Amino acid sequence: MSENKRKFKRFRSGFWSGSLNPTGFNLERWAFTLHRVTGFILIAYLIAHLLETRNIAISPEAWSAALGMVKQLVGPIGEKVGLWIVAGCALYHGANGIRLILTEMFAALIGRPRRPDLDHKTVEYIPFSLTGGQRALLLAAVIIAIILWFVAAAYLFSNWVI
Amino acid sequence: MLIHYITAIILVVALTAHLLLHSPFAGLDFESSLSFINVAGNLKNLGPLFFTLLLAAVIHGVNGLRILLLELWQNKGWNLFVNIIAIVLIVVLIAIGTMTLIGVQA
Repeated sequence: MSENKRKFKRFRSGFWSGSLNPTGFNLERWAFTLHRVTGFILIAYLIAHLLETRNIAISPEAWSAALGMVKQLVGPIGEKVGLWIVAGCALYHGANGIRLILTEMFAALIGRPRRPDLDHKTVEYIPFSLTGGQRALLLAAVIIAIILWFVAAAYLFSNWVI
Repeated sequence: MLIHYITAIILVVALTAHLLLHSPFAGLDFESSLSFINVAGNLKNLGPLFFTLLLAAVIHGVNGLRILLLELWQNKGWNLFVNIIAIVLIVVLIAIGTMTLIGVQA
């Protein structure tokens, strides 16, 4: 396969394969895909949450009935697992979102473009924005989200109170 | 995108406050934090916080959905359709949330 064909082999056209198939790409592409998937889950949860909490303004019985309906649909464990998944989505989406705001709005930690012919160390041009501080920020965001996700699990699945 | 970033920043702060009310730091376990008295009390006492959260979450979420949908196809008709649906969805969801907040105050 020629150099050009190999270079563009990973180009995928269309919405689904372009934004939901990050295989063969770098960590930032995986973060982008996960950001989209978690965002979609969160907007679906937001709509359901607003409709469910409407019952709190009707009466205490309506609120209990709404909570009971959720437990009946998915079971008490299913409810907590579902909330845990939504918590994970919110934590990742928020942490990665903060990284995106810092890099896209404030241009933090992405450096300046360099001329590849002046970079004697590598043959292939690797943009500085995909290395260095920005990559560390991405890893920090993921680690913080995972740690807080385990805290959420401890709270949801036990009677943990401070 | 500026609206998206600004609502994101507001959402990080407001959602953290909302989640802390259902966290170990609120002094209640998970099941107790969902009781009618606790939830209605929070909505009543922290109305401005929840209204801010409602606005930021709905605008940020629906705008994100709008961005996804606009990437599906690119033509004038689809753009107009998606923009109208987004505005309607924002208005409807904010209305539902506001009615809940007003109903709890009563």
